[in-house]
Amino acid sequence: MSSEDPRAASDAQLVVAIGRFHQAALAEIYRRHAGATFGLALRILKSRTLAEDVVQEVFLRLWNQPEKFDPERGSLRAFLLAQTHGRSVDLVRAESSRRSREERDARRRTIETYDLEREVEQLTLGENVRAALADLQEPERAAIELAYFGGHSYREVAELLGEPEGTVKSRIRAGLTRLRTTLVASGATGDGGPWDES
Amino acid sequence: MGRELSPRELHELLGAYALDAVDGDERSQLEEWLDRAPEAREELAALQETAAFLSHTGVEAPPDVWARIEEALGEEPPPLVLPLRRRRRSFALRVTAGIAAASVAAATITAVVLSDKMERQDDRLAAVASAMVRDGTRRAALAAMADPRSHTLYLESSGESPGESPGGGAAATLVTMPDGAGYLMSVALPRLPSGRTYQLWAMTGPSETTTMVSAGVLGRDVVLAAFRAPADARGFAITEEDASGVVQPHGRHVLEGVFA
Repeated sequence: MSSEDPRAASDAQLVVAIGRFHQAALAEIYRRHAGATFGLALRILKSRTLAEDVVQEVFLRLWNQPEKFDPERGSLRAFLLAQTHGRSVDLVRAESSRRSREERDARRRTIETYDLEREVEQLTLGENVRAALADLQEPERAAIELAYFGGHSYREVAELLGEPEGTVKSRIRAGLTRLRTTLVASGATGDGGPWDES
Repeated sequence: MGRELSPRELHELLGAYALDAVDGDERSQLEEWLDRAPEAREELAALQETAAFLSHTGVEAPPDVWARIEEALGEEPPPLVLPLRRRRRSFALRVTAGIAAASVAAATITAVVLSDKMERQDDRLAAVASAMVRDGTRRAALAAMADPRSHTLYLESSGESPGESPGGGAAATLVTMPDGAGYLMSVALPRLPSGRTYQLWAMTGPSETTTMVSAGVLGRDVVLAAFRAPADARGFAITEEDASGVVQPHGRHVLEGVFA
């Protein structure tokens, strides 16, 4: 990494620089990806305080264990988001275990009446991403939303939607594939994703 | 453990896995399968990138979060604390002996701190480098697997052993090339105690008078390894030996397999 200009470095170069204790490298990675990690944590946890804690934990984990990032398994952004998602879901599940059955039922009703279109309107997504989301079929969107933002396993999603597990499994994969196809066709992403600014 | 999933079923799970929505035994089976399915890994990476778009909310992380992170970084690296405290005690004693002696002690502290920091940086770089080497080896192994000239062999438990899987399935996958280069991957063996190692052997010669040729000492905790072996090896075995390795196998055969 060019220590004079971390903004010119690739994500992989920045991770190597973190191995040398370059705080500027972590700061640059934070600049690039903290918004997405915070957005995801906030979406799942619905608490700014908890979301901030998760973001802090994820970036400190990268600082302490940069070797955990395996570039062969995907981009740094996907890695950070996977970490964020896992930690957020852990927190949600810990919280859920304390809830009464009535509260869970109430939450389920909320999920069933979840208005994705309205939610998407509130998000400041790029035009291409919005178009790609809109291109999904409603059952695909519901399954993806419940799994990713609801923190449910696909089996739980099947139960919530009253659908066979195999159907939900297929819808999630088909929905993500369709989303990707649309994004690639629109130029929003290539094979490597749009995140690495090098 | 649940029933064994077919490759088709595992493939269908990729979307849910990309969303972190697969749990338990299915997750374990899927991750094992991904280790030996490069095309599936590529598809998974693409699906995970797509999932990342779902988080593209345009939200900015609050600035005070970075301030908190930066503050925590200021406490790094933690291992510096212990030697510093240890030296502080000797430093305090030397203060009573005079300022000159204290200066020597302070210099010692500085040297220890710098030395420790350098060691820790070396450790971190070694870990990052090790991960990259591992990636390189894995890529080479996968490339070898995809090469039509290669031969793949599944090493299975040769009896009562810690690597034996419930279904009696393969506990390691081995790929060899015509030039003798080979890769050992997806190894499911427990970590050995200190002073012990796994060792890989190539079986050469007719079955009646098999000669075992060492193909490498694998260490206590093997997951992936590159090796060279005689090109005419008709099979391979892994034994457990003393840490220094041996010329001829003395330990029990933990895994073995013979080309059909």
